[in-house]
Amino acid sequence: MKKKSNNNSTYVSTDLIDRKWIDVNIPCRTACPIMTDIPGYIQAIMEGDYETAFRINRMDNVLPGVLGRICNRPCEPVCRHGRDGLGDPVSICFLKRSAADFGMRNFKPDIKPIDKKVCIIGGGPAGLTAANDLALKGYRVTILEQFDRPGGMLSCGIPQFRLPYDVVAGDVKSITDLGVEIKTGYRVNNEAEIEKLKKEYDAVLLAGGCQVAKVVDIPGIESPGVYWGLDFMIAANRGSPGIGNSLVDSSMKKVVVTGGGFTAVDCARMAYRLGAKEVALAYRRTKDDMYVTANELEAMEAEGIQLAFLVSPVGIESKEGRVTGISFEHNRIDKSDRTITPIAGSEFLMEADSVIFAIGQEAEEEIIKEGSGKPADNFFVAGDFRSGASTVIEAAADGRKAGKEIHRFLSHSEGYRDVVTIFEVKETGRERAYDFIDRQPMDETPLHERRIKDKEVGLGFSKEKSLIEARRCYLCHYNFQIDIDRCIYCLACIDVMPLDCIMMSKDIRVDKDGNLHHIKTERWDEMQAITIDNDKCIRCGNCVRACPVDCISISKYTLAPHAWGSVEAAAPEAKKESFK
Amino acid sequence: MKYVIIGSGAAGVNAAEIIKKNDSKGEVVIFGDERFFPYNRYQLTDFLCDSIQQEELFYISPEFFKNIGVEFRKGQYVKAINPEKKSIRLFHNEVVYYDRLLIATGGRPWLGPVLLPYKKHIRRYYSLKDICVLKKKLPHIRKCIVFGEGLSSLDLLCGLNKSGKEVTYIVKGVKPEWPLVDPELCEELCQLQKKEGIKIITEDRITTIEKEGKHFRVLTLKQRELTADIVFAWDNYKPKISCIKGTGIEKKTGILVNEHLETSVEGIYAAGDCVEIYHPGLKNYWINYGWPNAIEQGEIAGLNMTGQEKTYQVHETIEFNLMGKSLKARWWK
Repeated sequence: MKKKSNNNSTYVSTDLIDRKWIDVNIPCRTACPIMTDIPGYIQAIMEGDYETAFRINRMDNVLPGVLGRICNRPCEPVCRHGRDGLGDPVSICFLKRSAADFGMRNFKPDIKPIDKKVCIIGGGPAGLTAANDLALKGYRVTILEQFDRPGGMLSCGIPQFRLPYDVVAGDVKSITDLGVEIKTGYRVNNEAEIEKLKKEYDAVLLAGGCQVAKVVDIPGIESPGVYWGLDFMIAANRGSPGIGNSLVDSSMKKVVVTGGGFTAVDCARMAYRLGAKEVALAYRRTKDDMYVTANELEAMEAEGIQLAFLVSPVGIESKEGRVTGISFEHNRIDKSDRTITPIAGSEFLMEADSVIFAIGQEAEEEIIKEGSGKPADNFFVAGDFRSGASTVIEAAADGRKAGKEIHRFLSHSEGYRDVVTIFEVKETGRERAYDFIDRQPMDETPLHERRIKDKEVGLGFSKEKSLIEARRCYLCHYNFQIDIDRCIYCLACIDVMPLDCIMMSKDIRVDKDGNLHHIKTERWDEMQAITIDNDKCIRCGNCVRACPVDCISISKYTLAPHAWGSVEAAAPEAKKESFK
Repeated sequence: MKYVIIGSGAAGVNAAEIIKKNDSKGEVVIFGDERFFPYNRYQLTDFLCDSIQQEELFYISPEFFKNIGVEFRKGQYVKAINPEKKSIRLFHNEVVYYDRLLIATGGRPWLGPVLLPYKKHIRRYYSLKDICVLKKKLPHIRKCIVFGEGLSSLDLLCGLNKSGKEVTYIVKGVKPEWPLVDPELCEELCQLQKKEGIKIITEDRITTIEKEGKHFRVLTLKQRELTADIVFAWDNYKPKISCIKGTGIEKKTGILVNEHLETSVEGIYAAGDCVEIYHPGLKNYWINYGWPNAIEQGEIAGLNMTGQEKTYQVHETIEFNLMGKSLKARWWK
């Protein structure tokens, strides 16, 4: 259903085909678990409006400062600019950081209070996102956080050289400004305590994360000098005795970390900062299988951390009550199913005085038994506690999902329908020259200062650099279409297209998934129209400039922010009125 | 049967010859990314120092490929492989189909994340093109900085020293180490370098390179500030295998192959410096850098591509010649 607003150039649509257009044509937004309006905020940066860029970000993604630093960036590999022959993907993550660095403002929308209380156990990304969304709906939200500061793993698991505490605090403040109360140092230990909370609150959400390190049972694992990744990071971040600077500086010289995720890389880089002379990271699979961003890998390699792949630990060697090394065996990858098998007789020893195992985390089983929280109940589970260890953005997306479930439960509404707003524009503001700008590197702390434990490595873009990088974005939210009633078939647009994106078509077919397929033809007698394949289009605007009859229209497609803009299915008409 | 070979080094050329011998009706095409006919890379320093002429570098004449019935396409960079369609795509987007594919792309020095931002200030010392450019610049150069390990650094230091340049050599370790079997030989070479006037800086690395007029200002991790007319730097020497991206071909640092030199994707083989294989003697995966390895692996891969089942045997060490001196490397044949 498409409806025109009082502004003649704006439409509001709940048509699935318009929603599908966004999925297919804005790949970065689709890849983002929380569907951040990426071209929206990049365009605002391009226009020098950092405040709007921050606001767009903040509406979709409640932790812009945090995610501008440590997001695993599922958006960047799918960026159209990174396709074959088009260069490198846009630095979407760093631009998100720029929006927060230069545009962060108090976020205080008008909220109509609802007299219902929601309790959220866990102040990590899932809990904070759910709290934000529910607070925006008017609920009174209380977060119970076991540590002395909110943020969950953001505050205590991720090192400050990647994510400073004040950035987490800034993002958390924008949530508490909405009226969310956070009780720190409050740990919920078991089901009995949850039952009590269920009676006290209208709804309870458990978003306790995955805080228990996965263990491996190999000979010598109990030796002093063996640490579990998450415990090591929490202790190192908080500087507690046993792993704090003073003790480690003198004893930790040769460190081997095993694991292939963010925690493993953080442990290796933290060991380097704690004074280790030699640090190696060993992983059972290959570099391509590591669950970290290319940036983290590069930073680790720059800091001189050695990498060993296709190796699995088989035993810990120790002498006089201290680790002396770790034995590994080499693995082989099976070519049919990529499983790994050890190579017989391939054992070897890596000398080490400290060994850190960072092979994953899981939820605390004793808090809740499987199957608790029936659908009719007022109890919900979200984030890593529900789905297992994931990334910050995935946990936040799951928190949003839980927030919607809770709202649906408490308001007895049927659910949401997405709303697409379509604006007709005359031009995009881009120039063809922008397509040839190289990806901008971010300045980093010089290598000789990398041993400083809490010094942030990524320094962010300057305003000038962010502006240049933002210009690289194709702004895929623009839909270019040819009005066949006005087209004179001069083919001027085809002459100037840099890619094979405009064609003579005999048909456009829509498959069952709503995908459009342009059926190209070279024959004038069967040609029905000149069409633009928006999936191939890089929004350069050459066609618009070349068209002699001005028959190519440009419209901007945006999806209303999920937290508050989506139409509730129970009352769609009422919501749509607000656009008038 | 159409055989396509990516890489015109020793492995690729030898494989082409073997394939043609075993399958005379087969069509063989070699793609080389350099604009020259195959040449002896290990003689580049001799050419730099005018000990030999450029023509003497080429070990294969233009007629060679015509005579054996192999199509040689030089200056053609292969940017992608599509195993499903059994095709490769060249830089200019031409698609070439194959029945059997050999990847013999070799290795090259890589800058790594620290040096990469200063790429435009760093002089490469790897290909004939690099040497030709360097040869023109050399008379105007006095002070040189070399940062990087491997035998090519030894080769370069010898060349620059022989040309009478003032050389500073920076190494990450406590002393320069070259992949030679005899540690005493390393020490001997190190002393020789010092005696020849090469300044050696140990336990340090280049972190920043800035251009100042006609010179370069080099900053190191230990806050040393050096100046030079030219900077040669690389972080490591690695296989050149960007063409396998997205193919599902398993890799570690190099392409992983079985003892028949077949990759994890059926019908695609690999040979030479781009290959990494488990070495039971070393109890480790190892990259078999070196000319004799490339020749042998090219032969085995070529035979296996034509339907035979030759097994690659690992050897212990290899002797080779560096600037007229016989050395034993820690490689395996």
